[in-house]
Amino acid sequence: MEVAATLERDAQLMLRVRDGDETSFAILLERHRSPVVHFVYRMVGNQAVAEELAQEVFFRVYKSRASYEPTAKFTTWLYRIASHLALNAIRDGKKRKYQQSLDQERPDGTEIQVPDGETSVEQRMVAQVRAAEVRQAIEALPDKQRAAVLMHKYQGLGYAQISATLEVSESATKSLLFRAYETLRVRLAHLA
Amino acid sequence: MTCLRENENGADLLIGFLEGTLPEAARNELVAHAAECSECGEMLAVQATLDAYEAPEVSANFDAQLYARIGADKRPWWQFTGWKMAIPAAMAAMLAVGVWIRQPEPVAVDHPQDVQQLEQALEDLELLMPAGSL
Repeated sequence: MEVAATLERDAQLMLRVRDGDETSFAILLERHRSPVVHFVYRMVGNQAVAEELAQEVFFRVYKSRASYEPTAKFTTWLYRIASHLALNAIRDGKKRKYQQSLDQERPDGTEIQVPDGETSVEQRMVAQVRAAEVRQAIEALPDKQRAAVLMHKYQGLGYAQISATLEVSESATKSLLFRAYETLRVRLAHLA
Repeated sequence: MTCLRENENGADLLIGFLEGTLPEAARNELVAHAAECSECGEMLAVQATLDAYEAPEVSANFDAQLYARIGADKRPWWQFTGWKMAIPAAMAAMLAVGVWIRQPEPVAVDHPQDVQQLEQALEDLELLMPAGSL
């Protein structure tokens, strides 16, 4: 119920943006900035590229404001743009250009994030190795399976919304998700 | 219950379980099966394993960069291009005007009077030169 209300609020905010209300765009940006960047980051595997692409997502949202019609959920539209850009970037080889290894520092000098609560150096190293293995397993998935599983697992989108986002049938989406989780199970069983 | 991989409704069962839409009886049956079946147990357990992969925080200047781009897009082109483009454009325009002003008059190709004078001069020269020297 709360989720539905939030989605409705997104569409209302976007309609206000269409009418020239810049504050509503700022609210939408605040609400969806991190989820979109995180989604694209997990798609392309690089923070700088992810932020560049996420900016393009919000830029396109803003540029299209005049023609916005709430025919679908705002997040479906948002993630459709994000997944198209990420998939295109992967295809263009942009990812390879900026590819970074999990065991290396990022260009800005910060380390790859691991979950909170890992206090000792040893625990942090173990957590980083686990995160690296998960990341490699996700990156090895075919592009559409990866997009589907990232939206499902990390963004909390249901299969019906993922189907609308990727513009494939619901049964095909379930199949994509099942095959992705099965592959991840095989590759990551030793970490469970 | 059969394993998720071998069950023709395996995808529906798994997705329903993960999204919390599976009826309680089916959910309990899947959990009981997963406790006995290592593959199905791993299929449910992998969800927790995936939590290990966190994404980094978004850069502090993300919004500023976005709004700068939006602002640049709103500016008219002559402001967008700025002096960097205006100076060479002005120089190119001045050069073009200069070339146009200094363009030489077209050379006349049809001057019968001049041709006649030239022919006459050649004939005079022939008369003045010793025979056989031309």
